[in-house]
Amino acid sequence: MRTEAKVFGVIALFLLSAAGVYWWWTGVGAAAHPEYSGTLTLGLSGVMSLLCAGYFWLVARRMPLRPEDRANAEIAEGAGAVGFFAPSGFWPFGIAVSVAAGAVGVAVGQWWLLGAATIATLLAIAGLTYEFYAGVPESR
Amino acid sequence: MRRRRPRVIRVAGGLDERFQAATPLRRAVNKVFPDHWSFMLGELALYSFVVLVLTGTFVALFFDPSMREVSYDGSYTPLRGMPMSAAYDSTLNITFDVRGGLLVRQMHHWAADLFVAAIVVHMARIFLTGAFRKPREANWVIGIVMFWLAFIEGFAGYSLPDDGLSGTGLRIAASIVESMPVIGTWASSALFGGEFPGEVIIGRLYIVHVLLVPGALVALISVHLALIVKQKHTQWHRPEHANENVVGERMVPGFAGRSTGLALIVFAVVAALGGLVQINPLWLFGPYEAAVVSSASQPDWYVMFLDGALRLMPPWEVRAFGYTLSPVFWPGVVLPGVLTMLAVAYPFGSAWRHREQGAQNLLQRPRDAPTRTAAAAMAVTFYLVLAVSAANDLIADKFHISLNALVWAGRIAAVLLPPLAFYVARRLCLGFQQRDRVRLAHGVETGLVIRTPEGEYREIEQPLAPADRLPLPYAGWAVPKRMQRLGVAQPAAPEAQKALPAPKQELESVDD
Repeated sequence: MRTEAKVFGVIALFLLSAAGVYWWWTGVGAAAHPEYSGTLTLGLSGVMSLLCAGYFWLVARRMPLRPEDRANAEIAEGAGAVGFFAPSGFWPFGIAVSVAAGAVGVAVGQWWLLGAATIATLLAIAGLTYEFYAGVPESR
Repeated sequence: MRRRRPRVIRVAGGLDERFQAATPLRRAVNKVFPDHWSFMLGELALYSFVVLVLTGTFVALFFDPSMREVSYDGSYTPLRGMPMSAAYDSTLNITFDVRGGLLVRQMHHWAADLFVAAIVVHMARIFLTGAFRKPREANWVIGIVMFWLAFIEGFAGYSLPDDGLSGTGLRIAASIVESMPVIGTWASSALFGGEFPGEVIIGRLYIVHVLLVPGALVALISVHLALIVKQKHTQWHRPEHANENVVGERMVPGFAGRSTGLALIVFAVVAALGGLVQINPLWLFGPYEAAVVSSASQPDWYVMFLDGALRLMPPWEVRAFGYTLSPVFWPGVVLPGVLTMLAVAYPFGSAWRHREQGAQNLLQRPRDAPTRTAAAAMAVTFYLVLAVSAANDLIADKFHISLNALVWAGRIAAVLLPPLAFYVARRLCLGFQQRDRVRLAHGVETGLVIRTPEGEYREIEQPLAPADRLPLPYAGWAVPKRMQRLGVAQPAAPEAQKALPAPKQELESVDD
């Protein structure tokens, strides 16, 4: 897990410094002010990478070394259940479309569209969450 | 002492003695209809037609279908004192001075758009599921005739107010009539009572709009429904469904209750649209003047594909034997004619190609008839290219694109995109078929990934039947896709493997 934390840490470091450089570079010369949207995008990407790095770091402190973390591990040591991965589903697309509709609503000042898109986003999130929900298994 | 029978029984018995209605009523009340959401699309059209008759009767009470010139003297100030036809004057009167007039007029217009939309969606459902096959070819053809009647009805309807926009549409229609070889000029002159616009066309369109076409529509709707009752409704492939039976709900209470609910929803939606969403604000267009054509003139949505075809047609004029054949003739007359004939001929060509003999009462999923579904995708794409092209002046204006470039883009798209859509839709259908067969053979994806001692990552699959029964045959209906459908909440295998999805609806009865 420490490896993953380091990978994301390096990415975060790069993005945050790139945000600083970008802010400084677009600000010099004839421009009246630095370019905000690019700075914000780079900075937020860096913060999100930092979030991942911090999460991996915290998890790594609480669990023993996995086979992938040890140089002397055998292949068979990693056998077993890996976890649940959604095999298919269109809900992420639904979330993307409704969020995009909300952004269009903000951009063109149609607030009813933002309201409708917010409701649609919440419904799509619920759909994504419960897509593979099969109920609580009955006790034997 | 003889006990008197209850009053209800006596009254009902008395009625039956006079009208002998019990036997046919019992048959009607017990009629069984298969249940699926897509079987309600035709009813949407039926109920919008009812709204159209009701609202149309109201506006007809105040409308004056005359081209007599009057001077406007109503409450809409910008047009005060303007010379205009009595038709436009009375439409403005309905809009501004008749109580509830604007609401009912807008409801009428919205219901008309909904009516044609419901017809088109209903036709698409019939086509995509193969419900037009024997014995229902006649009903398919009646449906196509009703589509064109609705089209003419809508066109006549929005031409009646005689405003600046509708006059432009009428001018285009006159050009299409004139473009017909040999008879064109005679037909146009007979229609308009001389040169366009003349003084009779509004009165004639009025009779077409309130008498001829609605009468024909009522007659054809009756035949359409009578044929459904006689030939019985189609149904999907399901465990108890067969080509020889009809499984579903009885007319009363199940089907009638649901259908009434749908009718009330249609009324409510049309009323809400008419009250909240503006449509055809004809007071902004002014009265029609033959010399004036406003730009950004778009017809109602169902006419847009023909308008787009006119806009895309290259100016190819044919001169032969002393006659001139206008380029308008091809998109205006030949295109709708060819499209209609293709649709009429499709059931017969399809039966011939597949060598189908008997009655086909079970529907096909669109994926199970890939060529037909691909043909539908091709038609829809062609239609969309034409419909979007009808708004190319608006697109050019709003997005700052050259109009000529858009015309050429439309021409190229009209030739290239339909075959592409055919190919993509066909491949998608075959892909869906393949996926169904894979699930029947291997099982449903559970999403649970394991790692084997050899280091292989693999997803666990839940088979749909014990191993000795695999692969299951395809039964023409949806194959379970998710674990929820298999009832995972029950105790796990081997019981779970038996829990194939049970049909939700009960087997009520088999109709005669």
